[in-house]
Amino acid sequence: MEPIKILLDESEMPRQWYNIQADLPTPLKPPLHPGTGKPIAPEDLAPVFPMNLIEQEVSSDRWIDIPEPVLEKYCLWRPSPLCRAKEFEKLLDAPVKIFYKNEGYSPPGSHKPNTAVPQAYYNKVFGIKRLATETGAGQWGSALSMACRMFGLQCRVFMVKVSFEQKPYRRLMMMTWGAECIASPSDKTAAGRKILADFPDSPGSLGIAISEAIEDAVGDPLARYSLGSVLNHVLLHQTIIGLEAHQQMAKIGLYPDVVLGCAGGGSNFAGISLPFVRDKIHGRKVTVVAAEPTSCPTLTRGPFAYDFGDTAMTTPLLPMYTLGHDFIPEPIHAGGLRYHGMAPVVSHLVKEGLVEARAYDQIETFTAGVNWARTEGFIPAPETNHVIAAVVQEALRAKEEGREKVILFSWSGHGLVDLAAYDAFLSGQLTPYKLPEEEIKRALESIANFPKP
Amino acid sequence: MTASPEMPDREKTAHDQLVIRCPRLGGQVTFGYCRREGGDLPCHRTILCWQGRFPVEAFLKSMLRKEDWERWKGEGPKAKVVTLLELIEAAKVRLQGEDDMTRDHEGKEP
Repeated sequence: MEPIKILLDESEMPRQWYNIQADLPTPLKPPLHPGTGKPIAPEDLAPVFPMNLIEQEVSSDRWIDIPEPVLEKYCLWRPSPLCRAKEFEKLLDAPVKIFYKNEGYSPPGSHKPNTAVPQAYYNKVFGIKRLATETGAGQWGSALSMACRMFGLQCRVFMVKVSFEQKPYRRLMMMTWGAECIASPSDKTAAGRKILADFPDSPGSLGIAISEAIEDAVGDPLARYSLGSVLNHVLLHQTIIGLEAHQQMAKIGLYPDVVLGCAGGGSNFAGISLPFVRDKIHGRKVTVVAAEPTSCPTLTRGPFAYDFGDTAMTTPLLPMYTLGHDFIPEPIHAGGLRYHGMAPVVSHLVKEGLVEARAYDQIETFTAGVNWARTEGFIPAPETNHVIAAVVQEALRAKEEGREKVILFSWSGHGLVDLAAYDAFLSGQLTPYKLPEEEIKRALESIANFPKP
Repeated sequence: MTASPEMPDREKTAHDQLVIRCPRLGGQVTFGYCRREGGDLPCHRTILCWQGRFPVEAFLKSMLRKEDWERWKGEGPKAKVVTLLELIEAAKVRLQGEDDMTRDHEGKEP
């Protein structure tokens, strides 16, 4: 029997994180201070981050040692297993081998503790007593709560009120690990009090929650702020996913043709992909795909027709469900990667042509996630469903092309605390999109003269 | 949200009960939430998330005052660290303001 799980021993776990800044063909432009117009200096961030993390944020060193106390905590769930999705392969009936890195294996059930643990550690050694943060879905808040407990730090999480009310189990996880989880807007901060005075029934927003967390940290010299995605040091810590996967693939003598991750803020995607992007920069042939959410209904409304797989018309014509290769309206195409919440490194890699962005709508993603659960058993987090939808698309392409492919992706977390989202999907609350027929007609004009299957 | 005064209330809230999964919050929200997420302006992702459901861009354009629409559409993406610096400065101002108010209040005590 071919192995399903490819495991690493704890002694084989990487001892360094990988920093892609050292290998970028063109360096990232430094962000400018909004007040001075000059590049941001490390001390500008000192009110919210400890200097040891700021040093990582601005570092161009290729490899950064993982401290021993962090490795000890990582060993609670790392190295995470690399698994072969054989049952899902059977369902897709395509010439692909699908491997996934199971990051749902961590105590909070996602990839988030890969950075929460080092962030708590670096704050601890810097002399900080308490961390403040904001959370939306609660994945980050719960990961940081656990990490703070591991290093004896207090933790205060401002959770967007609408999520606080929708997701009691995430809140209870945070409280179980000893964190203070507060519905935002709250009366703990001037920012929250002002919102409550103006809008007593405000459901909150991530913008308000982050304002509260920052204010909480700025107002207490022994507190700092912690962020779970986007920033360079967060992406750095997550590279342990891809570094382990690199070793695990080598153990079975394979190298992926395609590496995929879902991209919200970019940290999970960066975690699985950056070590492979490094190979690509140095000449290795590998396709790297960031899967992000959109409302584009290409698979649900389009006819099966020959079309290019990309807007640049560089791929061969392939039969596919399509609304035309240039259908995606301007604000939607790779929209999340232009969106201000995306990691600059990821946006930069897309711009450089090293990473491809693909968008999937909620119906496609939940359909893929349910199919995954019914074949592989594990119920994915709704965010993870985006990359599973991308894997399905990649497998079907391989089938159409008649070409064997090895696919690797990050299974970023389980959905056991997000079953309400599955309820919404399974009970039909997430309705299929109803794009006007005239818009579909207009979009299809671009493929009117292409051959039909 | 600063609504265009010409639009009747019934039309302003016409899509408010539609439900979508918010990729930022990881849960279901209504369109009514999205169009007010940014306080007086919609969430930055509103068009991205809703465009497949109904002509949201045209709806928001007709609903917002011209200056708010232009402010919202014109807000370019900012690097996260830039946003953090702005929030740090705003927090300092708020904390200083509260300190000043406390001192003023204590000074007036008999």
